[in-house]
Amino acid sequence: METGSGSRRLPLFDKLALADKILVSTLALLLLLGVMGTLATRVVIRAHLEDEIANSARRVATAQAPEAAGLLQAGDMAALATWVQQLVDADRSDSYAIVTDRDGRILAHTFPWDPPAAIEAPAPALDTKPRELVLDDRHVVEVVVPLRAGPEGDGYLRVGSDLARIDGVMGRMTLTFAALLAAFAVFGLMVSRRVSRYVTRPVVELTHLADEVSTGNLDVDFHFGLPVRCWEIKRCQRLDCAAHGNTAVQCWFVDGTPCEGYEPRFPQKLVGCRTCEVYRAHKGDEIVQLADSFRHMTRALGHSQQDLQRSDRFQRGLIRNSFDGIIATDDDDVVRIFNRVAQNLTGFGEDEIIGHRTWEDLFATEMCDALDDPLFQDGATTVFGFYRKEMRLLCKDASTADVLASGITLLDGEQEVGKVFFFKDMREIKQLREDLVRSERLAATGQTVASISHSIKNILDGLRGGVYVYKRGVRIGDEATRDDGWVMVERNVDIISALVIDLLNYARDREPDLAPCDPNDLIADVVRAMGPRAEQLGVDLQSELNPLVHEAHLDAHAVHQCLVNLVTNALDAASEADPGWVQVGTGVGDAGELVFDVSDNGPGVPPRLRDGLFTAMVSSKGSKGTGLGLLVVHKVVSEHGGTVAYLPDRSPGATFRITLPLSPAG
Amino acid sequence: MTSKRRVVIVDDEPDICRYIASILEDGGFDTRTAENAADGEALIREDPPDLVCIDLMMPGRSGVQLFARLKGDEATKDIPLVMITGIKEKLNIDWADIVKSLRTRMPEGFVDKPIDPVRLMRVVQAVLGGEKDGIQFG
Repeated sequence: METGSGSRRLPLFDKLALADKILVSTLALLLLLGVMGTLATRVVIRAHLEDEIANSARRVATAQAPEAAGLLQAGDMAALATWVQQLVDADRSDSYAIVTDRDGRILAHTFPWDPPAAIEAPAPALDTKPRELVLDDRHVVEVVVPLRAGPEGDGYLRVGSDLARIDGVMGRMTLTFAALLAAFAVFGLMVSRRVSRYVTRPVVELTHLADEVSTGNLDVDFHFGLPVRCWEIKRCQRLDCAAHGNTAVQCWFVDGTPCEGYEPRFPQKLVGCRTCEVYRAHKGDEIVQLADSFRHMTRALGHSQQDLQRSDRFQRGLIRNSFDGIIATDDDDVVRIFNRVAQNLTGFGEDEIIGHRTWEDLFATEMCDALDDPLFQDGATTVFGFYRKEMRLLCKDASTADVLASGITLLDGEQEVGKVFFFKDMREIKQLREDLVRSERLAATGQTVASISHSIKNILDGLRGGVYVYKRGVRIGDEATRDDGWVMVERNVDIISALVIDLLNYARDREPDLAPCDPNDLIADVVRAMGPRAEQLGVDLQSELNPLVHEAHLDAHAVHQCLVNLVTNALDAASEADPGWVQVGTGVGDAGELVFDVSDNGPGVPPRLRDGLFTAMVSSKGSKGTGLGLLVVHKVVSEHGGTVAYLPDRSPGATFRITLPLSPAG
Repeated sequence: MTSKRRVVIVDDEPDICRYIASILEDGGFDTRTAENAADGEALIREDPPDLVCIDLMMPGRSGVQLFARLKGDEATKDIPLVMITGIKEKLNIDWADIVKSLRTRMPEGFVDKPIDPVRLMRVVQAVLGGEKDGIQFG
């Protein structure tokens, strides 16, 4: 059994236009009424005519029965035959008369047509009620009257008429009715045509307007109802009102009318306007009200459309002018947004992608799972997706572009409605990073050169001083002064040698010379070496050795140099405190790694120097610091696979922590 | 016999102290040295010299702080000061601002590093003779 609506045929009537339906309905109604009226009239008139004929026959038969009875009693059959002939002639040419005895045998008769071969006898129970008979295929109506002829014998007088006469009358009457019916039909059609036009014209017009609206054209205008002038109806004098004197637009469409009690803007104001006398003067029948509602709807739609278009333009502008690439898909994963950056990056045009490709066609990297990860909470809604992952986009020339992408699954309630991806060109990011690194490197190089130059200048002063003092000793013949000068020369040669070695160590790549050593011994050596310096500065240098520290694989010489650098810095810083102290110690980290801490109670590292503390030549000691010390520390520690950090909150001054694995990888 | 004029030299680098002291001793001065600002200030107050040479950049209390303390004290404000400085530090320091904030006078002289003995002596003699060394600061 077919149940689909698509397989059903629309009834013919439903295919007709509304005007044609009204016409056809009116015509059918008229025809039905006419036919029924005709049939009813025919039945009534025919029955009436049959009664009339039967009554006429009865009157004749009843009136002539005594004379027939006398002739029958006299037994004059010839006279009876003549009498019967005259009886019929006197009546109607389509009537007949028969006289029979009591057994029904025909004694005399007359027919205006050939007598029938057989005539049935009258019924035993006689009365004068007319009855219909068929005589030789003729429909007749007959009345039987008994004849009282005394003891010699009785008989019957039968008088009948052919009903064919009625058929003729009925035929003429039917023709007359048909003519009248046709006239009524024509008149009815004319009337219904006018009515249908009145009804369907606004409907057709509204249909046309609805078609216009559906194609996006909301700038349609049509006029139903009476144009009204609100300022005349209300006798309004507000000349500042935009509706005052405005015959182009009715006042209920005008925003900001100062009428009291109404909302200021269409369409909200319409609720109040419908009760206003101005609107009541305008509105007509239901068609006008329907048209008005339609117009109001169109206006409201226009307002909404303008808002939507404005919003759409704004959003398109955002997407088009975004410095990030944006790709958005619908719930079938088909791409619907593919902005300029995405086009430039991939080489694909909008027409090649939108509506044709899915996001999976564009991304070379698998990220289905990532899109299902909870990303953040938006009120009660969990937003799923990923943030800043390195992905690869497929380009038109079959190459790939590295991008830093974020993706979000778009939800409408619980329903997924699409996905959106934002991405940056990693090539640009990488270029920026390289530029930054190059710039920082150049800056660091410049700073390094300046710092080293300064250090060398100080050493040169020491050398010059040594030479000067040596010469003075020779000049004045003072051996002690001469020796002092020589010692100064030697010391500064040592200093510049150490600086050069540090520079070389820092500048070149080298593998740490790893060997087992006791970290606590290292600390003890450092404290021993730096003791005189601490004493010179008046700083208390202490060590705190953790007995749980195990032997480690280190480049002892390099780590010793790191600790010396840190302790030197700490002593200089602590010398500003009164009394100053420096503490250097060993420890064990949470994961069992080796920890060296160097703490002081100096002023700490100024915040402006903390960034890049281990990656640039930084010194808070002016001409006394080269800034190379921490760079060397960072390099050596990194070569050991460890880390060095500045812990500003660990002590009153500063704490530097070196964390080294017990056995460096590789 | 005229007594030697006395100079206190304050520099955290002992070699520089010795170098400057030797130059000034050759110039006929009696020198004392200190390797930090606190010791230098104590020497100065103990026996006010005719001249003080201060290294600008020192750990702890810097040369500028020592300068400010000496110039801000009635007992020492008139002792001439020569600041020993690298050209970089000299240009980086806004002396006009320091002098204004301390309500004091400019140092009487400046000597650049690396130290040139002839230049040092010329500045010292100019300062003790009541002349400025002619170095201009912007």
